[in-house]
Amino acid sequence: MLLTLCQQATYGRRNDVTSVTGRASSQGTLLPAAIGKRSVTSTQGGNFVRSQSTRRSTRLLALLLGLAMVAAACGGDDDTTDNANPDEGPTDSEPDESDAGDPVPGGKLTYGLEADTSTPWTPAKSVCAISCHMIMRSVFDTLTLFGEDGSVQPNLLESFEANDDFTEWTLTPKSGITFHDGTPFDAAAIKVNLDAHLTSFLTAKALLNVEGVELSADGASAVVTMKSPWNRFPVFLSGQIGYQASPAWLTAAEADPALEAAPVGTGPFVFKSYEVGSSFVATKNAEYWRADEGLPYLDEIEYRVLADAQARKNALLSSDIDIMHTSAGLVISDLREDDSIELTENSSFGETNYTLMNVDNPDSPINDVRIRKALAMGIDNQVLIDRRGAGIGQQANGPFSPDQAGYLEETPYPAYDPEGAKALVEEYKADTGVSSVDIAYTTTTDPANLETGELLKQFWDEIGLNVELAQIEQGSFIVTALSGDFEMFGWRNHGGVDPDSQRIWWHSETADAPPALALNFGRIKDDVIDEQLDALRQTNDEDEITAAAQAINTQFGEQVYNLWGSWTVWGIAKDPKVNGLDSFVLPDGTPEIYGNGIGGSHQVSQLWIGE
Amino acid sequence: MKFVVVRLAQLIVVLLAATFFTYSLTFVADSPEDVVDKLLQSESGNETRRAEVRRDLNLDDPLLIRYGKWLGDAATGDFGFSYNAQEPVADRLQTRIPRTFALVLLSQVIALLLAVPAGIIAAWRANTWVDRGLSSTSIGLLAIPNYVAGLFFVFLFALQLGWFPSIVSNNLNPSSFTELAQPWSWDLNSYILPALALSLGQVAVYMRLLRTDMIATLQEDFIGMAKAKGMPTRHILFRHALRPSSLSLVTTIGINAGAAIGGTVIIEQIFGMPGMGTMLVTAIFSGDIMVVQGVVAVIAIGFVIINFVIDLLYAALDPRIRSA
Repeated sequence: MLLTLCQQATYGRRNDVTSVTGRASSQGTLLPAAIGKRSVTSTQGGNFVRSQSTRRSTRLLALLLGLAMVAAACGGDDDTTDNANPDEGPTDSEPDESDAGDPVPGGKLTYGLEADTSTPWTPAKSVCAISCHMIMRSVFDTLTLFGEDGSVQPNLLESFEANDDFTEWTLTPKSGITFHDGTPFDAAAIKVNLDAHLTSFLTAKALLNVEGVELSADGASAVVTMKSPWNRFPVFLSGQIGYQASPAWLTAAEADPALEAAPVGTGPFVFKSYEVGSSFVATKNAEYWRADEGLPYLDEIEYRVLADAQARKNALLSSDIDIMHTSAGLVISDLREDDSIELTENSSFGETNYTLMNVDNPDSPINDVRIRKALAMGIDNQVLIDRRGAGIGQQANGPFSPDQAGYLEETPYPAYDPEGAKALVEEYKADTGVSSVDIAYTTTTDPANLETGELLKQFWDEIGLNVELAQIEQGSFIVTALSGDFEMFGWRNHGGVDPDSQRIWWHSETADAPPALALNFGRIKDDVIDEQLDALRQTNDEDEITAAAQAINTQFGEQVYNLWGSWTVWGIAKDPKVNGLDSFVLPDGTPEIYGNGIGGSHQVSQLWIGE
Repeated sequence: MKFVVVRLAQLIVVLLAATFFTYSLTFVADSPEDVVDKLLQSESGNETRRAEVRRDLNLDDPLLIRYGKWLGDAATGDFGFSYNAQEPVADRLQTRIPRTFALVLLSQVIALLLAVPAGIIAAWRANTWVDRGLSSTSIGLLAIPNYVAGLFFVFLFALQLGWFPSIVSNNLNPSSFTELAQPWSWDLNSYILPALALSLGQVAVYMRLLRTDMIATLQEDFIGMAKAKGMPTRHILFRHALRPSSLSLVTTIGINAGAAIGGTVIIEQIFGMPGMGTMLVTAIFSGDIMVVQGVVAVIAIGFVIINFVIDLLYAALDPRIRSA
């Protein structure tokens, strides 16, 4: 990969989003207007690749979506190789659980995570990346989930319904569910959780269109009022915004922040212990609201934070852990060759690895589109992928990968052209009278990220730019991006297919001037992008949504607001005795889209350990 | 007694210098406002929380006053609050210190178990092929960084042979001072590889030091007398030659034990060991300065105490030291 730095996660599936009618059914299901179920065979383009797929047909991977807030963590797999090669097609190890038999309850599972990026665990404060979502899903449940066909389905909700113009959503909870501390899950709890987001310094920006939350007259539902029509609001309830925490715990944690490290939700597992940077342990929730289905099967799940991808792989191969995730291409490549484990790869709707630029700093040369184009034209992305990812990777030409709405085979994004880049730099120098074009590129303290930065610097040195490399520790990285105190950052973001979910990263309404925190890290203020993002939110027409997203993609290419690198592939590797990875079903018994749309993560209540 | 008092006074001065250096370094690199930003991260825009942190860390006080307050709290075991872990730093240290201490102790035991016999044999057979073989081996061990050794051990003993785990159990014993005092309860199987990796370079140092001193001792008249009396070789080596040859070794053990604490930062990462090294790395990367200060203070205290004990041991081995 290029840079595994920061990541958010709003995932979705093009068919999903583009086909949604925007009209909730009476059963509370947001149905696609045209299901358009695609059978993705996964041989190319990286979709959901089941290794050893010759023995098993590849499942359809439908829409992924859900809001996972801010870019975080980055920490993950050293950024050496974030992209497995979609062009390599299906590989030779596949989780074949067809003969695994019936689920067996009991046992403890140890999961190797790439990072610990999460505390506090309160959903409205957590900077939640992939590893965080794994843990969150163990303790919390979301209000909605995605069905395999891409439709948004109720999870903790009994139903969700909109009024005619989608300015009011009525969320009705299932009855009889309690949080781990005995607090009832009801409409009031939904209101408490949404109110926490509305007042959050972190997540409120994602709900700017929400006017407020009130209880219905009978108190049985939470009614969310919008400032303007928002037809796909339930999509946001499948991710970080949708995690439901115990109101009693939230209140207690407000008074005593130490409690924020001991989350209380409705989820399949109950918090047991947490050591920062080391482990998170949760035990079976015997009172789980889906206990009559046998869920969860495991007695205990322990997440071990093993930041180094090779160490994580070694731990799996030596049976010290049972399952792991990784986006490190070299490790995925190694795991493909190992017959003792089962590997599942997912490149659908993945994040884009790129160089994030602050384009609203008048003191920076980056403010000039010629320099941004020169930066882009100076990078040979294939060389970057070859050297930093062992040749595994797919060049990105925009923020949308091939599965996402808005993807274009050809975009105006500049191709590698060092001579053209030099000319642009010289033109800039002549116009501005400067003798040196100085730009700072910042990455984390991860040595692998520094190596990537050094390679980029070599490219840019060759076209006459003077790029200074800087490193700051992970803990400051996101905050620095939020506050806009940077010129160029190594970054990873923009997974998912629903272009509406990218709004918080690109719309000018979230581009507060530094030092105010802004989720539009690059402070992009582009009328075309704003207009298209507004249009996305107002329509249900698939063609219109796609056209708007493609227009955004084109505008990004022309204005070069970011320097695109490659698209991410995630691998889940497990001991063959671990079963149920892809067998999670929604409360109504229909299959969920794999991972609920967040690459590198998946549900855990359905996992079980066999012989 | 005077010797002990003087050493204790020196110990306190060193501790004050180390902790003040660490404490002030945080605020040299970052302004108080930057510190608050790092600690609060996504909540850094929350003025109420900012005020709380400023108050908790006494950020409105001058540096010296601030340090004095921190030191006073630290002296009572209160190293502050980790805003990342949302718990008191001391709580985390209570589980981490025993593990790292056990790791360092085991690495020293392994190093000595290998180095002492090898050093004695090399000295006894000085300038023979045995000596040259042991010396060459020690140079080879010295040239191998402990993290390389760690990775090799993982490959060989964990992945290929399956004798030991590649990462340690998270419920690793000892995880409390009570368990630390009960070595029989330690999870030795998890400690072997990291301790061995940590000890390799020290084996070489100890062996070569002991060999050099022992060769000189074996030239002494009293050794010649012992030989003339017909004493068994083993008796001469272990009863008569080893003790006077150990002074440099004992001193070096103190220094190396301190260095080994630093080495645990990398080794703990490789083996996924939840000790102080991992805690320190995580805290640095997340900007959790209270943890950084607490861990560094503990490492400094450990280093100083170990050397203090070594000084006492040194004096016991050689009475001339006490009167010097």
